[in-house]
Amino acid sequence: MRLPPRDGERIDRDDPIEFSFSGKPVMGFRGDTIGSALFASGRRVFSRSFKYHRPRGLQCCNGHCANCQMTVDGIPNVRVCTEPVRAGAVVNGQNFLGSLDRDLMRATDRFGGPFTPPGFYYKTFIRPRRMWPLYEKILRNAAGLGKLDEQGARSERVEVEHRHVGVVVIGGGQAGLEAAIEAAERGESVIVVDEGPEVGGSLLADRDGVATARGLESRARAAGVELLAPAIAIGLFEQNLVPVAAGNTLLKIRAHRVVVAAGVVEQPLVFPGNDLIGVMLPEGVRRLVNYWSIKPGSRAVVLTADDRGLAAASDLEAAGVEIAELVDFRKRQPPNIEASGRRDRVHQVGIHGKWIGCDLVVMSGSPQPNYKLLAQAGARVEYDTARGIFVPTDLPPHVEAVGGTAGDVGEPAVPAPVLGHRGEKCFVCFCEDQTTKDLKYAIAEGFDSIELSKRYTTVTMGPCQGRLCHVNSIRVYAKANGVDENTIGTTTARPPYAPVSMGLAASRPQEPAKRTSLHHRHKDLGGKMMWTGAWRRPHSYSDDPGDEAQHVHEALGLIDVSTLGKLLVTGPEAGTFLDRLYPNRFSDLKVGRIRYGVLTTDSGRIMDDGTVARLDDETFYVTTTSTGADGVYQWFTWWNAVWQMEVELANLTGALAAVNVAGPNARTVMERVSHDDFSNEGLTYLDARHVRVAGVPTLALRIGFVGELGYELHFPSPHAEHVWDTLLERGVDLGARPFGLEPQRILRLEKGHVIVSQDTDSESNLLEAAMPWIFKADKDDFVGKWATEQVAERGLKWMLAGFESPTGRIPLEGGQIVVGGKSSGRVTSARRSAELGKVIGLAIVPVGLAVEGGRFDVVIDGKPVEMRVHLGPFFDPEGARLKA
Amino acid sequence: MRELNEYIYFRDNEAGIQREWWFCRVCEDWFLAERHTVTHEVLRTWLPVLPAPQEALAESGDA
Repeated sequence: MRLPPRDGERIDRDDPIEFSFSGKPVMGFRGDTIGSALFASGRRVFSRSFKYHRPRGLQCCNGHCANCQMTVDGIPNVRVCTEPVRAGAVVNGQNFLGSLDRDLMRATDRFGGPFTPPGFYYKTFIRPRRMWPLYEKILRNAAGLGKLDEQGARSERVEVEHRHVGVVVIGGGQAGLEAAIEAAERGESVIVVDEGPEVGGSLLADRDGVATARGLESRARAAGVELLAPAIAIGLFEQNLVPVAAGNTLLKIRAHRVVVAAGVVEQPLVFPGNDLIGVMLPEGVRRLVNYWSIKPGSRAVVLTADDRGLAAASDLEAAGVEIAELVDFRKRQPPNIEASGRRDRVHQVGIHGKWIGCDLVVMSGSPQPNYKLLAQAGARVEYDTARGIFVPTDLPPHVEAVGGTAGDVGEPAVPAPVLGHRGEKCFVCFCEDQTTKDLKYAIAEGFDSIELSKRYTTVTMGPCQGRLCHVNSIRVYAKANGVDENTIGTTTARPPYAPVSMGLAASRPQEPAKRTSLHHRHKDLGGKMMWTGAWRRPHSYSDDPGDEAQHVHEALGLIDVSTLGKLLVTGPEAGTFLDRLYPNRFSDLKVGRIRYGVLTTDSGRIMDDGTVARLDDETFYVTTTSTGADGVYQWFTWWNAVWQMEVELANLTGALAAVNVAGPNARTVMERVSHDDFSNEGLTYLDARHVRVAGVPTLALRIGFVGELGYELHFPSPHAEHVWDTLLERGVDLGARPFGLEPQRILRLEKGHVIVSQDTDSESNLLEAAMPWIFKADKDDFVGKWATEQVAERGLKWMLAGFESPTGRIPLEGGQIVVGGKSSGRVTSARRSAELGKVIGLAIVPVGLAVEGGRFDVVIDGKPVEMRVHLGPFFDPEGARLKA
Repeated sequence: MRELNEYIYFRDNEAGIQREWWFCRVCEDWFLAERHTVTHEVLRTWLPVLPAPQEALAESGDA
């Protein structure tokens, strides 16, 4: 099958590579693609068409058409004509019942014609109505291309990378590389992206094109051009944003200038039998011969509208293929052309009634400028009637087109499409199996606008994204409606330009996980790490978080709270600034004292909470929730930009570590590691003091989120491990142990302390989150005051309330509350408390139920289970333990 | 209530030049920009200055 070794061939015959197809070994050479190796091994059937399951073979060999889609290593819909061979690859055909060569679904082609007109789903198969579920099941099974391997789930990392360059050149063919070299030599930074496995574009189809391509490539590299291939520009967005799919990376390139050098897409001719195996586009044939040294047939008919067909004919002759007939439409246009097949392959071509035997047909319609990206960017396209192509015009600023894309395609003369046909089907859209008959049918039904027809017939909506059928469908429409192509117009060009895997579309920006400076200590201590937003934090250090919580009640626990947001607000107007942001007052907070604060938005919704400590007259230390840190900092800086107050803001979140030391033995351990006064009088509840802990300058906040005597220590991050280790070592006989987030959640729930975004949602306001005491209505204006007043005026509907579960069953967080058979609120938190010997929780309930002794049902496993309302803290309501 | 809703939720959806607040995530500065919402062309940018311009307060839309 292979030709004798030739100059310029791409394959390395000394480097054979074996892979499997349908379980059988196939040999190729380095430089082959899976498609070329299969073709060389004698395979002609590459896929089964979408609707009729017609056998299809190689057509374009450059990734444009969808005829060679196979499943490679479990990934469906891989175009094997451009997929390089690799040793051990497992390749299989797809979309058949039986085998690729004998597909039982082929019956739809032979007998299904009358039953599968456009929109057949909604016509033939809709009656009787009650049968639709059955039809649907069958149709769903028959539809779609390829199958995902649900068992062998793949795990891949996909990332987004941002790039900024002077020029991005889309397309690495001759025109693109020349433009890139010119720009780079002028000193601009240049990236070239090309969808092929290597740059070169259609040069790679030329007999000596590989050498020219390599020459241009090395000149480009020497000039400092960055070449990316395979890399597909999937869109061209405003301000020259070009997303590029490059393997497992989605590059988002912003360029000062975009040069589109995407070349042309060779168009099929529209004649009966144009999808038979052996009917190919000229570049496909030329790549087989010149690139991979394969003889694609023995007797060929060439039908061409331009020089491309002539070049293919010349290459075929050089490879020993007989040219049985050559029709150059620029010289003569025979009134009808048709092809007929035998055993699924093209067997003869009829030219105006004269039948010519052949096993290969080269068809070259007009080479259509590949303008899709330009149209996405806002360029207009106009139909050039003489040449039968759409040419882009009115390019947006900073976007250029060069080469074939710009319309530099010579003077092709394309014959009018054949409309009526007997015998073989006459395809307009290969991917979706749409024939000229189907389009005529759609027009007769009233779908005479191209946009409507596209949706109805799905023409241009297949995996080739209209590359091979867009122009032809418009020409068929124009001819059938008796108008010109500009009247029909084009359909909107939308991203993506080529199919993009869902994984790539969902790829995440490079936002690495955040770790606290105690991360390795947690791992050494057996902490089970979990995600909390971007942070990695220990869930617990044992299998029994309840026991960890109990230990804090009984002895001493340490929790890493370095993730808390930490802002320093300084300046003469710092107090007033906070008064305007918070519903409660901070300007009257005494130096060295702490007050709890909740932030609300303009609409009065709870945004975040934390503590505010006054360090001196002009300095406040503000903590936020872990996930709210960035948002609150932005919120503060924005209001400061708006108000222009004499306030400075500094975000110390990463600079400072924080550890909460809690439990009845907390004071004893602090007195061991510090010379400062930690007595109840020296550092009383809600005091803030600068101290030294283990020699490290520390801000100690006496607060009690977990309900026991506790000190939240904030100190420079570099000392975190030292402070942590010292506390554990010196507290060893006091029972010092770390505790994780889960025990902390139990402990705070015992106190009825709210976690913003767990017990509140985007609708929660101060009054209905049971925090009326924080709303100082007599205060001057603050953000959210107006809205909160309106809530008071309209009356409360909901209330966040505590509850106990008398049956001991634990409702799910988010569990529905049912009152009188109606859904009325939900559970926000629920845990078993060993300390209390009860199941407790928080829930958003109708305000009328939020009274001591109120009862409501929560659905657990489909059945209502009674809960009893409990107002206030469950544990130590007077706070005696906190203040001890 | 109506006034409140207008203040909180309603913004002119200008097909043309619009003044917006933008936040630079690198230098963490807020700045103002005039942007054409159709072409996405940024006409000018500037840092807010003392005293606070009243119209900036009124147009406190998201960037």
